Amino acid sequence: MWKSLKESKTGLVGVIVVLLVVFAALTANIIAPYDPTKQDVMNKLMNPVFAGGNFNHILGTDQLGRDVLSRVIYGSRITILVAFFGTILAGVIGTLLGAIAGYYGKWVDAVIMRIVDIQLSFPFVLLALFVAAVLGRSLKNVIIVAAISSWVQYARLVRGEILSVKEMEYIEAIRSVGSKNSRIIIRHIIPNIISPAIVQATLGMARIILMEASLSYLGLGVPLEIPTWGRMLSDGKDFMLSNPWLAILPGIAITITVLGVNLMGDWLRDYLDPKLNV
Amino acid sequence: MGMAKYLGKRFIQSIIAVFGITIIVFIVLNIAGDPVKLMLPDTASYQEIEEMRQKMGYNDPLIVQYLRFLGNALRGDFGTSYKYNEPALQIVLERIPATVTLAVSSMMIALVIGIPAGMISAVKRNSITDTVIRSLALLGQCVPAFWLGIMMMLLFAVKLKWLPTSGFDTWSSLLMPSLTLGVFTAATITRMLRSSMIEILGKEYIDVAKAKGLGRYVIIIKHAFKNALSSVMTVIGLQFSSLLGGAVITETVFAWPGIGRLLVQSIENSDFMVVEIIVIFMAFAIVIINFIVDILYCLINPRIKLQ
Repeated sequence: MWKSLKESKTGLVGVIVVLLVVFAALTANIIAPYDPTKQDVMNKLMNPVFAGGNFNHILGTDQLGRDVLSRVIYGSRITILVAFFGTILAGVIGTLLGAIAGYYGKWVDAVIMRIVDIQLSFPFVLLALFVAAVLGRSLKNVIIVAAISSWVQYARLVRGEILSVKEMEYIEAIRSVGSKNSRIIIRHIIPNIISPAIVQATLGMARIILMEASLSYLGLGVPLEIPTWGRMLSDGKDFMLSNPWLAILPGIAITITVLGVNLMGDWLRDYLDPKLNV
Repeated sequence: MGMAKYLGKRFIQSIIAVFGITIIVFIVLNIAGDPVKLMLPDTASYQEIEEMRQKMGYNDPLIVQYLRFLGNALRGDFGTSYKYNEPALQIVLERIPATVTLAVSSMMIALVIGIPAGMISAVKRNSITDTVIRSLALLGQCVPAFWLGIMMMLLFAVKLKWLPTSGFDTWSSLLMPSLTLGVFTAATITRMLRSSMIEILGKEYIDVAKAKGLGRYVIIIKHAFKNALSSVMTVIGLQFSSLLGGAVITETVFAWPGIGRLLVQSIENSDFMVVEIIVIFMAFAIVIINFIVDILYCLINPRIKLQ
């Protein structure tokens, strides 16, 4: 694995970016130079150091004098939390429903697959907005929205795999010697789907990160006082004339993170599942 | 399975999907909150609220309420907007043309960029051009649309003053929102077309065409691209869904007077009647577009395996 990663330059870049963001999220309270919510109106709207600012606030300050670098660092926490738990929840829901659909077939399958159809005809932003509007702003709700908008891929994957495994003769053979369903699932189905599921999860995380940023931008993500990249961007937008960096920097943070996750996902796909690569 | 039978089956599935969507929307909105409390002033007594509930039919069983909602919806009656005090459907209908304009022009931009880019990238595989196109396409899928929109505003409207920042007054104001919204789709089409073209260019019949002495461009356009078109069609169908979703954000960034911005505003105002229509309309539009894509799919490639 390490060898493959060293050979794939883009994969290496992706993994490093992801590790850096995770590191920032885990150690935000140590590495951030300021409290991200501390206001200092005497020093508001300062430019970053490379655009005429000073080293007290390397990336400048926002309209309330809060330190932008600290807010970018703390912002990574929500990004990582939502991406991580949203993906896990989506994976659990999708695997369960996909397994039930594939295993029981008939009307159970038909019902679940119709739900999948309906889900696919809902733009995820719309779904997210709708649920966020109904449930209100909270981290838990953003994670639920992330999961609801991405479980379908896992369900299809697991269902497809179960359907193909069910047809295989050796499964008949195993069953005829009295092997239990749970054993068949653990020994024969899970090993087959683990690689595509990991790839799916990584690429799905990129989507979830963009989704969380969009929700925060619209003010429908986590509570407004928690710093997030999307929120910083929408606040910064109103100060484009005095300090355009307020809108530029959080966007760069989002883009680099999503790019890193995607590059990591592409590498994982090549590494785990060479036949998927066209 | 014959084409007619397949399309018939897809049609029934689409209708089921539409029904499912109305059920979900209805249930979620009923959990969402008590519309009666929103209609009455805060000072309303418990008794007044109860009377109103009874009068509006909110005390009936959910299934009765749903059927009534469906019946009214079929007659085009979606209730009254709390915010504007007008029929909710009217308010939404007025905003639809702006969103359709934006969605169509974004899709045009995506196709105009995506198709040539994907073809060039596949034909010149592993060249510098290919690397540049692939990198840009990847970047296009990683940049948040709203940020791209703000950056374009900063550059073209604030710094260079070439284009208006927002609104829908002249055709030039359509340019930035469409680009913002179209970039992700353009990137997706490029990547999809590239990989399916590469796959097709490796097939035996391409070698046969070459051996026959057919020109390079004839092979690329007539043989490879024509066959790759069905995969592009699928992407277009799927992308319309994310395009309508993306419109919500793009319209908010550019203050575009479409249903996306109306949706966000209505959510903020708890104007649930309007929210309901927009969600149903968008889902409906996507189901219909996907059905049309299915038909086109069959027409482009009649031999396609139908499952």
